[in-house]
Amino acid sequence: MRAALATLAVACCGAAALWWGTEGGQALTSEAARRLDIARAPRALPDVVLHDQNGALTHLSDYRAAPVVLEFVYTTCPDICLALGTAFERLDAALPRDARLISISFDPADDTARLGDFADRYDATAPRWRVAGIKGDAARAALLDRAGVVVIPDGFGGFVHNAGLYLVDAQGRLTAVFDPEDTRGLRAALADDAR
Amino acid sequence: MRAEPCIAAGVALVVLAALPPLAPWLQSRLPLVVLGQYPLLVLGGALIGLRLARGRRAGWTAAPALAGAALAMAFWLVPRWIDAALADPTVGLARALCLWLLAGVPLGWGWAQAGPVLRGFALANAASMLAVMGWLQLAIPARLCNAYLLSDQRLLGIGFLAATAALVLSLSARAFVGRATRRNAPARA
Repeated sequence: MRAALATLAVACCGAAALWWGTEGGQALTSEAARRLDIARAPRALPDVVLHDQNGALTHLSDYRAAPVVLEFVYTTCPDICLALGTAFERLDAALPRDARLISISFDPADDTARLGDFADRYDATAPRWRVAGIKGDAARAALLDRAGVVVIPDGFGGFVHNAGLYLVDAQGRLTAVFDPEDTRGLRAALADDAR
Repeated sequence: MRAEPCIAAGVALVVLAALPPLAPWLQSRLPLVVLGQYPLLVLGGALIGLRLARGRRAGWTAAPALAGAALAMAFWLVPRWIDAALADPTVGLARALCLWLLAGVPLGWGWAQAGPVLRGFALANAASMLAVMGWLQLAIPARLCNAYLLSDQRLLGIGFLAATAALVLSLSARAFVGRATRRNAPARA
């Protein structure tokens, strides 16, 4: 009896720790935890300077008047960034006129020419859809950290990163992250915000 | 083994697994973390737990100790916390201490106190859990940890399945071959 009660007590403590550690079973991965955290507590993004496909410089804070959708890519990506580009193509066709799209490259090697090539691939035209790099290593690290973007080398000269569509509201706060294929969910969230 | 060397070996294993120069290498790949660093930390604690249990009879503590060890290990196998331990050194330290003191020590203590039925149950449970985790790592198409590659996840899955096979083969050998050998062995004069 003593053993059973002690085992039960230990099991309850362990289950409580697992419940806490996974936010009630909702966040088994850090990606799920990040999305949950952003949805619960939208976060302000640092005001970094972006250089776009035309060589123009803009601040992230320049986009405060209307909702913005961000994605983080690198222009030579053979994999998930292609899906992200396609998702932005769909959003470009479907979102209201005042909404803005920014494909932000985290690769410091992405210069204006490479950003332009990526933009041409999807007919991205500024100011509606900018393809931009981030000025400065510290600013790049700060933005990636704040958005919860984790970039690791893939072992073949490229990168592996967590992909998503990042909704930023008119106050410049990151309010939600969606899967690249979930453009419908993002549009619904935008419509909710507009109400 | 005398008390001091046993405990010293336990501490040495933890130092080896949790501190440079080995720790950064062990944390560089997912299979090395889970199938290298974790077992070293747990073994370091288990050696101490085994030593602490020597000469003490408290059979009723075996089941809660083994359950606690299993739950502590399960917590640090949650992908979210594997990522967090790599990203935040404080969480990494908490993980090392937890695997050492809350998983390893109770495992050693509980194993020493457990009877054959409980030991058999624990081993069978470990084999099934290892198999399920291996299957999950191979079956889930997306990366579970942001900090590690999908290829590492696949390797970990294969590692879990290999550990399952080794455990099942070892148990089978002890259950069938070992017993048969003893039964058939001639009595000593």
